[in-house]
Amino acid sequence: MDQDYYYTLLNFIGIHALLVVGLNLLLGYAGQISLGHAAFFGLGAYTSGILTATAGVNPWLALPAGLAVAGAAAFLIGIPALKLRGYYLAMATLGFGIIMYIILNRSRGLDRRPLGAQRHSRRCPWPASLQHPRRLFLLIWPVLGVILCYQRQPGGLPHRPGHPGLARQRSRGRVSRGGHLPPECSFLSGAPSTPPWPALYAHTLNFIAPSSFGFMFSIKLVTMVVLGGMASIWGSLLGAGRSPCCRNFSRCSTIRNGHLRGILMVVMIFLPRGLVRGILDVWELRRYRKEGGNSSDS
Amino acid sequence: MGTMLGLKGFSAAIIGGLGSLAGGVLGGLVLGVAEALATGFLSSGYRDAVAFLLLLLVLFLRPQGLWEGRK
Repeated sequence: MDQDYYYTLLNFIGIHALLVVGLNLLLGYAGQISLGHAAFFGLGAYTSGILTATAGVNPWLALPAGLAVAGAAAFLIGIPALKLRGYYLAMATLGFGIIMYIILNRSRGLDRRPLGAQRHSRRCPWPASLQHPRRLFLLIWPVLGVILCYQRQPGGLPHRPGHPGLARQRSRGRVSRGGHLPPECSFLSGAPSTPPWPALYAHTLNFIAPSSFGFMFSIKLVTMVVLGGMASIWGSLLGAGRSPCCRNFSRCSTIRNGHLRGILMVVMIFLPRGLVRGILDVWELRRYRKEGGNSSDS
Repeated sequence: MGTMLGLKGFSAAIIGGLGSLAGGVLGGLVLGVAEALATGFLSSGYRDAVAFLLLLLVLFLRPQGLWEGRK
């Protein structure tokens, strides 16, 4: 039983990490903010949850169905929205997120509307039931591993130039962030690549309610990206793991709630590129200076 | 605490056109009237959805705002 608890915790970290990696493509590599990712996540989770619990579809078929619905939504909203940039895009995605939240909350077709649906997915004979946390763990983490490794490959994603002077300029915001990928590309790969995971979310929790997919969840995702480090794939893992770990392992409620926002502020002020990139930047800069580089060439 | 109020203020500014004072006033008026109409004709639960739908429409069809904000 205790073991199950830790597996579930790891599953949540994995699901959040998958989402954060998707958002990181948009935020870190294209420099655009989307505040509507929770809506795509919610759409996928609802599709898969309703299909398995109400319609009794095999969870393995419900996974791609969740992907298809949420991907289609991201594609449709992406056509007009991606003409916009900067905070116009942020406001458009935010508006979409809030509209989806209200629809999920109000529509009559969904079980017990704001209360959510608590159903256990039915047993399925083939190929394996997704009910047990350990089985889900064996599904989620290998997927996450493959995605992380793919993005570390040379052909996977463009990497930032490792020049410390440039890195330092970036860290001070003199060079605009992102711009490596066109936003269209990363929105389309980021937004629909997130939605299969909400299906997993529905299976992990066995419960879905609109309140899990509200505006604050989008904010939380952006926070995770920023804290872990923009355009840093491993930072996504750290950012996603931080919140569930602190919530579950700290007994002190100040650490759980208020204190961590203070940490976020400190990170944003002193290491604006996130924990992982920021610490690497400091280290690179120190090495650069030690090698006799001129520190004032910025 | 006031999150929705702040978001709607920003939406009103965008609807009217960022960078113009009169546009902000117009945006706020349009947003408020649309919300009140939605409450009356649809349902009070969809009030916020209508407000943000208006924002989406303006952003997609006329991103500079209703009042021709500064470009």
